[in-house]
Amino acid sequence: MAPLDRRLLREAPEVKRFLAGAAVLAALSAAAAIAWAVLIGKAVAGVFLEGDDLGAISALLIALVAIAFLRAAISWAFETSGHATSWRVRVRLRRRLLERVLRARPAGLGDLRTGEVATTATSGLDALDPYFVRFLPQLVLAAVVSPAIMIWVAFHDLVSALIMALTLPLIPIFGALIGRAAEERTRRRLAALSQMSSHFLDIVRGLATLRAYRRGKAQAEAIARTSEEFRRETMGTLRIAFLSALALELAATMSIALIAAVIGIRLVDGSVALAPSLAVLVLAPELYLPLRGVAAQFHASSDGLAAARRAFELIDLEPAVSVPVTALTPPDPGAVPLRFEKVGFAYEGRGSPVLHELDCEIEAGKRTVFSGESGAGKTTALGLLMRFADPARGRISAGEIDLRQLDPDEWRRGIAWLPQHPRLLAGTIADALRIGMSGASEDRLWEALRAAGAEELVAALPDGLATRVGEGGVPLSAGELRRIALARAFVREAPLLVLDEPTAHLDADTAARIRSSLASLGRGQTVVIATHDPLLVPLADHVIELEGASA
Amino acid sequence: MSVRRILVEARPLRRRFALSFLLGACAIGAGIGLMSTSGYLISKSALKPPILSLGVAIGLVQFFGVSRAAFRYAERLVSHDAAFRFLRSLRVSFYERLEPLVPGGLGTARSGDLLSRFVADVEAMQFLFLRAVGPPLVALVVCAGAVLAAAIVLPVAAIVLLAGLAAGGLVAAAVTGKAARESGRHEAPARAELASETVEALVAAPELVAFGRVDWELERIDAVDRELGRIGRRHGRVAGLGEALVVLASGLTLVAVLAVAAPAVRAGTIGGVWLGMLALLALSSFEAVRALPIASQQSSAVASAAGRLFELADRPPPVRDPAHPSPIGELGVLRLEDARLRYDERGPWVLDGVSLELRPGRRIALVGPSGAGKTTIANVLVRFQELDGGRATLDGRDLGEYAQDDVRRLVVLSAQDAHLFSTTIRENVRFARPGASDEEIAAALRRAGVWGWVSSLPDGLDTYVGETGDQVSGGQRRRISLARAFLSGAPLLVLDEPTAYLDRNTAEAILDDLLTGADDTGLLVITHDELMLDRFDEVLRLENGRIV
Repeated sequence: MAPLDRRLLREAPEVKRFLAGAAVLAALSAAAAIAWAVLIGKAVAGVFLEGDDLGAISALLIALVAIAFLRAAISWAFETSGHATSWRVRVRLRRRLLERVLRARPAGLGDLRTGEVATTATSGLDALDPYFVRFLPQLVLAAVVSPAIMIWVAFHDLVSALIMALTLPLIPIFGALIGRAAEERTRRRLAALSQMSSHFLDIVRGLATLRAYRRGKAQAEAIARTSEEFRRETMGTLRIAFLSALALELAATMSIALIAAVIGIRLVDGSVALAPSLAVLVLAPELYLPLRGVAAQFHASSDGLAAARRAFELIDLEPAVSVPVTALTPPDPGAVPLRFEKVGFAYEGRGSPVLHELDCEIEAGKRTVFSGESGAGKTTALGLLMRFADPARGRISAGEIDLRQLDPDEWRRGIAWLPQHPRLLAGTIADALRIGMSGASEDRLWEALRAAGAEELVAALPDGLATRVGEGGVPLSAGELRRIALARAFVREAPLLVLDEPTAHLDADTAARIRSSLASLGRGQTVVIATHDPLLVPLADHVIELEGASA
Repeated sequence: MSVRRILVEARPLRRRFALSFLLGACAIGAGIGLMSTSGYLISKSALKPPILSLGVAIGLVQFFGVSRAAFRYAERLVSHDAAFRFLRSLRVSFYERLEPLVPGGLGTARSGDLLSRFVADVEAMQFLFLRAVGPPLVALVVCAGAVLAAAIVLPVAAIVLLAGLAAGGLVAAAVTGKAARESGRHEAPARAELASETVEALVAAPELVAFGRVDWELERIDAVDRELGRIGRRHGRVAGLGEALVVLASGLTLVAVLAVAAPAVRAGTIGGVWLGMLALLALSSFEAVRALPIASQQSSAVASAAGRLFELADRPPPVRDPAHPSPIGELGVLRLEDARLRYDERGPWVLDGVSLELRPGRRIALVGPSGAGKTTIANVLVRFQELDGGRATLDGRDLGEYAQDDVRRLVVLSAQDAHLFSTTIRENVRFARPGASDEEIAAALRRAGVWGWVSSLPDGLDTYVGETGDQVSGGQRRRISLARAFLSGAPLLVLDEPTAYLDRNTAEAILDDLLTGADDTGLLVITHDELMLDRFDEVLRLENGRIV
């Protein structure tokens, strides 16, 4: 697998900047390493062979101190820029991913699972951290520092350079040859490891069930047995898998040993000098270090790139609703008739269509009720009207305009909606009510709550409108939630009101109050209701009976 | 504190861990030996001695070169083996502590999250030795060896080296450890907030889109992300500082060693050949210290995981078996008399004086709004929870006088959120009565109204249900878990929301079958959608912990 992803480079400009910065740092790092080794060689050889005293080498030592600071600074800069880049890339990918998922699958995720998408967007992208902080710096260092050291050594000690040139490629070659077979096996073991963990997780999550059937205690033994089997098999694999690491290590240490021995012999015959020889010896480990780092961090690279790729898969999600290049100005959705013309629709991955050749008209300013068995397509019809998806066949028109010619966001601006399963974002009741109308006054909120039969409910809450709901807030029953969501739709004051089961989960009194609110709604509004509450039907100016596509 | 208790768990493995640390120390030591003997070899050669006199040094260099790799290989094998063994014993011992706590002892927290975190924390402990305890011990041994070697050559150089290693290692570890703890404190909440905002946005996607709030919500998430980035970058700066300090310390130590050794060479205290050796010894011995910043980061992560683990594992079990359990009868009359229960001492009563009687052949419906205490009653009846007042009896004796498993042989609970294990449908049903034949399993599935679907599947009973049953629908999952209860053959069944996730027709068909069945099973059906109530022998309505 390539260590860099083209798409990542193209779509995240900070990666290019990071690589450029890393190249500069790596060049500095190479220069510092070489200068460091040369100065050490000079100082040692000076004292040893020339009899220099401390004063004579003090300039060298001061230079060494300066280089020590420089090298520390380079190391720090690598680390911080890696973190910063990783964060920028994560923010960028996360935002694009969420935006795409929300807009492409507005009516819910279908075959995607919320948990998986959330993991990909959050902790999944964390895998980019080691990629930018550990792997990429090593890769750049390997590309810059190792050749620079080889070139310098070649100028001063051709034989050592030759040994380096012969052994250095062994590392990637070993990595590739021995590595690939072992890596495959290791990967399988790692997969088994995560299976082991999920086996344990499965048992722990199912503990209450196990105990209900008196199987709780017996599982301890099963856990011990599977863990032990896993250990035995894995150790068998690792004995071979670690051979590749052994080979890498041997290539590096043996070439250092070889360089030292060959230098020693040539020093005896006087063909090389001590100072540069010491420098070569100091440099030798630095030559192999970044390459070994690349090998050691290889999994960081595959994990990081895999995370980016998963994010791109979601970013490329096919939208369920089309956005025209040049959108028409939407008509007032409460002032024109809305027509379903031979509309057909099927959910992805489910064979039979939900709607088939649906023909009907929703008259402007009137109350229309969709009724029918559950599964007959009432919610789907409302969803198409909301433009959560486009019809597979036929068209829906507002006045004379096909809805597909409109920008979906613009079209929805004139609609207030009560979903079948309402959700409230974490926040106060007032926040929840203002979601469709941010500037609404408190009076307006109370008025809407009254119409939705939720006035006493909110008044009885500890902090009234300021009571927190949603995650971590006051828990609401399904019926309470529905009434708040209905009030939320009323607050929006939209010309088209789309209500999915406004009286579900409500006791008889509250349902009756909501029916009378709906009956007294101003005639300027078009109201579309999907329901199987027979008492709502008499309110309708027009009833559309849906029978499902199979009928 | 908690870390120490984890260390005690590792007692039986101490030899293996000690061996792995020793091998690790030998590997680094060999690396230091390779560089310092090379330095000596080169210096000695510069004096142009007869080649043969270099033989020992050349041999040592080669030896260190080979042995470093060999030690590392052996260390990897031993340490992984020890870690896997340790993981096994951790899994078993923490499982055994957790087992009696579920479900009654977990409190009201979301137990799914709690258990997932428990598993992740147990798994994290396997790195305690390899990444947190090992590196400091190895560093200690290696540094001592390196300082000793230097002391043999030149004591003052050894002091300088010791000071350098200590300063580099300890300061870097302290800085990184502090950074890790700080970021743990700030980063974890920010991360959790990002995750919950993200999930919230995904769940509320239809609302956000319908009300034109997508950009607004993304902006909200971005704000959390910016905060997280600020914390992350600060952490990165400090973590980078830790590594930079090691680099700096190694450089400065080398310079200091040269500065004290050069006068010694000039004064003739040591031979000049030793200078190169000392320099390379000083340089290479920092390899041992380099692992310390990461180790210190790891150890704070492990410590907080260990703390969470014991916080859970140390909870008292809500129910204990009696020392001498009474033998269980076969009659099976289960009674609650004025049962009272609450989750904490000052909290409201969850059950506030509930009485009921369930016996074979009797069918009771328990209805009421969610939160009324219906599931708590179910938990009390199978002895997952103990009462705070009143009595729960089986055949006239207190439930507490029986062994828990004996009670559960007579009374089987099919919980609302029953778990499906990631295996086949057959295994998921059969574990309620190991040894049951396929025909019996099919019959149980038929009673649960799901056999038609199962038999239509290409793999039938062998169909894999996915992780936690995610490849079957909610209704199918509920019915498969219902089939377990039927297969168990218990005379009393407590079914919590048996018709959840089912459409009305299917729900009624299942209830109809359940209530027409000629057998003598006693049934307590907990439900909120009040179907076919007239067919039950008795309907109990629970509100705020009381039967009304």
